[in-house]
Amino acid sequence: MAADVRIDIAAQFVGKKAFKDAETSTDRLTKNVKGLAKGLLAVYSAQKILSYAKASVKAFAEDDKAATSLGVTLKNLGLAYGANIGTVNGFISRLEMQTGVLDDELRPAMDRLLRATGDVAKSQELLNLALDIAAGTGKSVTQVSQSLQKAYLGQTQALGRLGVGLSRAELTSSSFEEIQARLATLFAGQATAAADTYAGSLAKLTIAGNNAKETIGKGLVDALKSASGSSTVDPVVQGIDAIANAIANLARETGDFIAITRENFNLKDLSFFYKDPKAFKGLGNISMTVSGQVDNAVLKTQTKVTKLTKEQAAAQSKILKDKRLGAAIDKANLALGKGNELFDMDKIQIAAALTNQAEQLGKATSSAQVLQIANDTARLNVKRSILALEDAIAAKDEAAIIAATKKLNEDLKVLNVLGMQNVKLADIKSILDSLKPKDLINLQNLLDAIALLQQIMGMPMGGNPATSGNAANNKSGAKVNPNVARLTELRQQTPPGSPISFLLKEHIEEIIAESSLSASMVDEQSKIAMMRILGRTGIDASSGFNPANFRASDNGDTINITIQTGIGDPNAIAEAIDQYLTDAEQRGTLRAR
Amino acid sequence: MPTEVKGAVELRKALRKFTPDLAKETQKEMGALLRPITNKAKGFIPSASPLSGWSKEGNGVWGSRLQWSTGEAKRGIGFKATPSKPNRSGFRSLARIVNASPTGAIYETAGRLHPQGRPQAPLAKVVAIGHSNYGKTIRSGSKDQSMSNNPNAGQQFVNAIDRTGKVVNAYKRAEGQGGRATRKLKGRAIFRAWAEDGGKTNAAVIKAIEGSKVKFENYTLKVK
Repeated sequence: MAADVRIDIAAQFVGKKAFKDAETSTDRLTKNVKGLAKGLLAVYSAQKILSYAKASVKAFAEDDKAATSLGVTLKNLGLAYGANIGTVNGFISRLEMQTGVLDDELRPAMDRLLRATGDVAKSQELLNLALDIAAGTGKSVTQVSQSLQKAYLGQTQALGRLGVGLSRAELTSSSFEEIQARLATLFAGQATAAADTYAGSLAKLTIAGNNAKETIGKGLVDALKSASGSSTVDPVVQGIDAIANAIANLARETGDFIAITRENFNLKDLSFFYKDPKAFKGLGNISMTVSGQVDNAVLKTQTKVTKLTKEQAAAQSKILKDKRLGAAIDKANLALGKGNELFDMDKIQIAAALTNQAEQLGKATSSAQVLQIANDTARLNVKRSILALEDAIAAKDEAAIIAATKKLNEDLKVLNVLGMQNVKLADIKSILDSLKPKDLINLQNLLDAIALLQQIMGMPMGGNPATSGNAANNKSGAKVNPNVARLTELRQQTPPGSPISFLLKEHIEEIIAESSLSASMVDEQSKIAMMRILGRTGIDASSGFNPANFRASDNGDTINITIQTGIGDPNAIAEAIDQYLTDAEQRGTLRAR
Repeated sequence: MPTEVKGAVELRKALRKFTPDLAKETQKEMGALLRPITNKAKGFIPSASPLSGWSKEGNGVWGSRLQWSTGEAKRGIGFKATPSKPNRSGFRSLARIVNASPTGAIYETAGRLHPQGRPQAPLAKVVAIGHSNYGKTIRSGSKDQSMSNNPNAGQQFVNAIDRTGKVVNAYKRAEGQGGRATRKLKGRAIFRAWAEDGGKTNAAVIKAIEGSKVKFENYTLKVK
């Protein structure tokens, strides 16, 4: 931003940097290329000439060896008479030029066929055929000539393996002449046609080059012979031996020279020259040799160190790469786990089913439906707990496994309770009770405390409402509960929905209602007794309780409540009270209704 | 658009090499010509923050760097009398007036490209999995678009700054000159000062360079 916020004054064009750079680079490149070309030309030319010379000599040697071997074969077969050798060599040369197959392949093939047939003409014929088959099948001339050689000698299986289009039956039942005639028909003109192709032309060029190489190689060998002044290379070999001996003697003499030098000159006396015997490098060539050895040792060590360093770096790189891969795999597994959780159909179905059960529970109208829903919910909970346990086992999380097992056991217990056809109310009650919050006040303790207070205040125990209430309650409870239990057992034994079951149910409900009524009465009596204890007037016939005076002693105010309405009309009384309360609320004297 | 001269860079090299005193004298002379412009430009910098919140430190990397400071904005205005590096077009300026501080540059240039504020960038949902804002809808746009949720934020900013000083175009098109005029010579401080100068300083600087050339030629003639 700041770069643009400026005013340039009096600018000068100095040329675009890119152009200048490009120009400089081009100049430098041109110079480098020229230098490189010069250097390369020198090195490349020398190397090429040397390597070409080597290759030429090698090619000549191999060709000469093959030609000699063929000549020896002809001689051994008694065919080295007249113009046979020349005929064979001329034939191979012609074939080479015509078909583009190297004489390096043709000579051994011819050699092989000559040994099998013992006839120059037949061998030429078979070599021609071999060239056709090789061109037609794509096999090498060597392989085809070997197969033909074997077939000529009676083993036709090899010929069958060439894939020439003759069945095993044909090969075994036919004579070699018949097979040859058949093959000649099948592969007629293949070699010539192949030679006329582009690839064939290239092969011919290669052959020309190789022949040139062989010729040059021959020339070089001849040159060596001429240099040694002999018709063979033996003097050259002798000369090389002499050079080797001379070099060995030179090394030996050098060693002697070192020994003599050390004896004659005590270098320790020459303090200006001598510094450290180990550091002494000697004189002239000797010093060069020793320092060269030291340098070589250092170089080797350095090379080893470099190699080791590279190996270590490579190993570190591999470890790092493996770690990265591991981290990536972990990450992928984590993501996959999340994905599995998201798309775990079992879990989805269970969650949906539980939601549905909750909805159904809200709509349930009968206890049977509620029981069925409770059963289904318990089963779903068990299934969910099983899945959670499986997950925990898969995750190898010990704490999770313990927690999941505990949860599964609890769910199974609930299912077991619900699953029993003989439903025990007490068990269900225990289940439901476990869900309810605990009572904050223990009533029994409270009653006991009231009894104690009565004792302290010297009240007669007979008037103790708690005692009487408890007695009544206990009495009533002892009387009712066994009946309810017995009737419930009886009802469970009867078929559900039957009239007897219905009657029993009504009877049980009546007993329970009576029990509740008596219990509430006991509660009322307890309240009155409590008010007596606390010095209040109780609400009973003899107490003379006046609501207008109730809590009058708290602040000394008198509360007058006058309800003006018709006597005996409950609605009118209710409306009047409601209006009064509304007014009070509007005035702000009533906190809440 | 600076006046093009030829051989000034070479002249300066020659001055430094053969007549260092003359080189220093030339630079001093140019400085004396440019200083009034920069002083005037500094006077255009408001003494208080153009926007009340600008002087408060913000968040992030630019929180304190972009905090308004009158002193910093004034200190950022200056001149250089040495040749610059070649720009992309191959020109080297022999002298220049700069407004280098970030806050000064903002004050200088705010609204010169978008006088009505930058257009608001469109909202787009981030769909790239793994992105920190994946699934969220954010504003996504180029540098020429505002990322603020307030569509008038840019305009309000420019208006507030405009109350302290208007953008002035220092570019004067010569007679018969064609082509698109540069928008990079518009501003509230240095460009305003340069525009108000009316080209007198520019001519004086060129004259000073030519004067040094004459002096150098006289010196070389004397040496010969």
